[in-house]
Amino acid sequence: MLSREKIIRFTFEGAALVVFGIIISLLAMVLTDSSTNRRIQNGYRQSFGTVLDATSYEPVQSPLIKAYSGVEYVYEGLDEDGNPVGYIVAVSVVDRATGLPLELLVGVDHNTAELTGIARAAEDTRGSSVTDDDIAQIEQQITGQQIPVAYGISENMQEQDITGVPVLAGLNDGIYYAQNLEADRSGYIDYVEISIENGFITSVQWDAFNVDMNIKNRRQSALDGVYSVSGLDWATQSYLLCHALIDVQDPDLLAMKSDGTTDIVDGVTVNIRTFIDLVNECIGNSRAGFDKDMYFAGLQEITDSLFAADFESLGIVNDEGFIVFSFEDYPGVFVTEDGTGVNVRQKVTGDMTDYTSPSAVGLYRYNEEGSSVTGSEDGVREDATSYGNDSIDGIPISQIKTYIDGIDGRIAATSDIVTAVNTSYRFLKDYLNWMA
Amino acid sequence: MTGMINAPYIHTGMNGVYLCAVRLLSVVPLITAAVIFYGIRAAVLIMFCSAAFAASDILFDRLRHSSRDSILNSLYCGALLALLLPPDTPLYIAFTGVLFACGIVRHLSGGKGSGFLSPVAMGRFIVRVLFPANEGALAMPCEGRAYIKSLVFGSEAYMTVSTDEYYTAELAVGRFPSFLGTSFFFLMLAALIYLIAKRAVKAYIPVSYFLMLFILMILRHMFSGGPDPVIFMITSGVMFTAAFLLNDDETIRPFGVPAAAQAFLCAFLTFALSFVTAGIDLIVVPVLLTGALTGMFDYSEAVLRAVKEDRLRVKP
Repeated sequence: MLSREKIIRFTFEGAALVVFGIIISLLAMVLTDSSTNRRIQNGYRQSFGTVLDATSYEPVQSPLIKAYSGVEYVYEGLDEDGNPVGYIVAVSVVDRATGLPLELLVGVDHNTAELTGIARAAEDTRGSSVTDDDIAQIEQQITGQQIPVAYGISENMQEQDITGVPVLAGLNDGIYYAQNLEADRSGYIDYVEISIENGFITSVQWDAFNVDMNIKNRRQSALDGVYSVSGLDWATQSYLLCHALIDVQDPDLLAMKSDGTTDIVDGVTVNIRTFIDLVNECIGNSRAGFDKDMYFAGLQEITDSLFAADFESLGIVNDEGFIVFSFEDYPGVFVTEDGTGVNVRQKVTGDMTDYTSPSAVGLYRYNEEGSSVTGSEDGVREDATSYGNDSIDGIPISQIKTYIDGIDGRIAATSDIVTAVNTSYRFLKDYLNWMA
Repeated sequence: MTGMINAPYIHTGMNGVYLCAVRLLSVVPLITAAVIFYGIRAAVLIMFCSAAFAASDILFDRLRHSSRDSILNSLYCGALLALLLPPDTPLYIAFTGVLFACGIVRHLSGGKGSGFLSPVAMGRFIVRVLFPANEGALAMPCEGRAYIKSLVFGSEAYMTVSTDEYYTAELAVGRFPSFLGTSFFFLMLAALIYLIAKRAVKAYIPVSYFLMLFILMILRHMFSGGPDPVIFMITSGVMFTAAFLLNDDETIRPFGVPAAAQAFLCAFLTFALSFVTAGIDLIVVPVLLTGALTGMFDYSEAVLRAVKEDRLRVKP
């Protein structure tokens, strides 16, 4: 046994040794902190430098990471002043060809949501079928483009692969435009602009400018919260509707009901009659070869003749070049002698051929399975497809920012990499509250 | 076994409890550093191993109806075993090591001082053999100090570590993934100095081992381009062997093969093993082999002596 004196002495010695251990440990940490940080940053730079160039990298701690299936870890890239320049998201997806996990690093710019790079993660050692060359090819196609991404909808893919997509016949390539001739009660004049490439509608824009040139366009006003409608904001609804039209290619298939609304585009609750009318006018213009420039020239000619003056001197052209004029006080301008209403093209060219009814003229270029999609004025669709539900990797088609060709003959690899990119988008969208 | 001498303290004039207390105190700075670097799980693991070792010792002493040694020795052995484990070791693995070290190695060979294998080294070696994946349950020091899930579920990500990635300063202070107590070179050196100052160990045993191994590693580096000898001595954990395992009074005995010779043998074995393995093997296997080889030598010598005495006795 130990004597009392020894027990007391050992107790003090033990306490002194604890203090000694604490001092040495803290000293060790303080002395090596800079070395450790330098080593860690060097390691990060080696791992992440190829996907996101930054001065330093910090791990992102967020409960969202665990909530997102497939997101393994996230790092934030910072510049010299500590401001964020982007994010590196490590994503694990299932290789569709082998069933093995594929782990990729996806770099995304903080300000522009553009992809800065893709690389295989160091943890990817399970031998998936996706090669470094596959990753490099997709990286080349997406780098510098905004995410999310879809593949296989490009021009070439449309020509080669897409079947069953109804396409209106007789459309001439170009940009076509139509605007309302009278302002609505809020003073807005709606307009629609569509782009047609290889007979496909590839871009649609629906917006409205105001006769009061101090008021912003309806889309911007909606985003600013100045212009409000029930449901989603007007800008988002316009966006969804335009993309739905790109999907179906035929305004009839948007199934507008008699009250001017549609049930088949999720999120769209506004009256779409004006939109449909203007789209049909654009389609008619396309078939007649009456493009946007001719439309503007025709409208100028009409206003010039109306006021016997140069339209520019009338002060009816806004900053964006639109002719801001409502013809409600001039009801006879767009009416023929027999009382038939005409549009700008008909007024200018005198060609009264009815080009505007897509269904009457429509021939579906790709409709191998028969007429599987049709619309009606009652808003009833036989296949009950909801375009708002169409999605890629859980992201509505309407939110896709970039379309790529993918890799020839490597659909599964393309799909895997695109899924990884889109998974990182979904995470960052929630994490940063990005607007779609 | 051939001898039943309960160790060097008989020759020091100090009692056994005093020496056990000194040895236990010598690991206090190491335990402190382990807790500061690895957090709560390190504290729990060390306390658990010490308590389990003490409980096992008491239990097996009762089963064998033998007199009980100081509990301080059990606490010391448990702490040493814990310090040799990876930080993310779950408790059931640690308990397995304790059970083998205490129950099988120590008590089945006749109790404290009767065997020739170090219970701590053997317990750790058994863990390494039964749970090889656990050798990768290493953790980054100074991170996740509040993390305790590993005590039940083990490591979330097993890792291998290359010291090449670390700066010398980090390696010197133990700021690299390693076992709980084998990376703190200067604290182990301080513990050794403390033990020598308290006359709890003979200086020539650890010094012989350490210097011989260092010389061998320098020669290897010069002639075959092996690892940097200084980095090797600092990071491989051989200082743990020198400071604690080679001073085990159960296996390094002051009779038969000279203790310094045992230290040299251990250094040679460590050197030889460094060509083929690393990690815990370098720390415990040479100690176990040294114990086994010198044990067999002692046994043979005792048998020969007995035979010789018998022959002398038959003569008229």
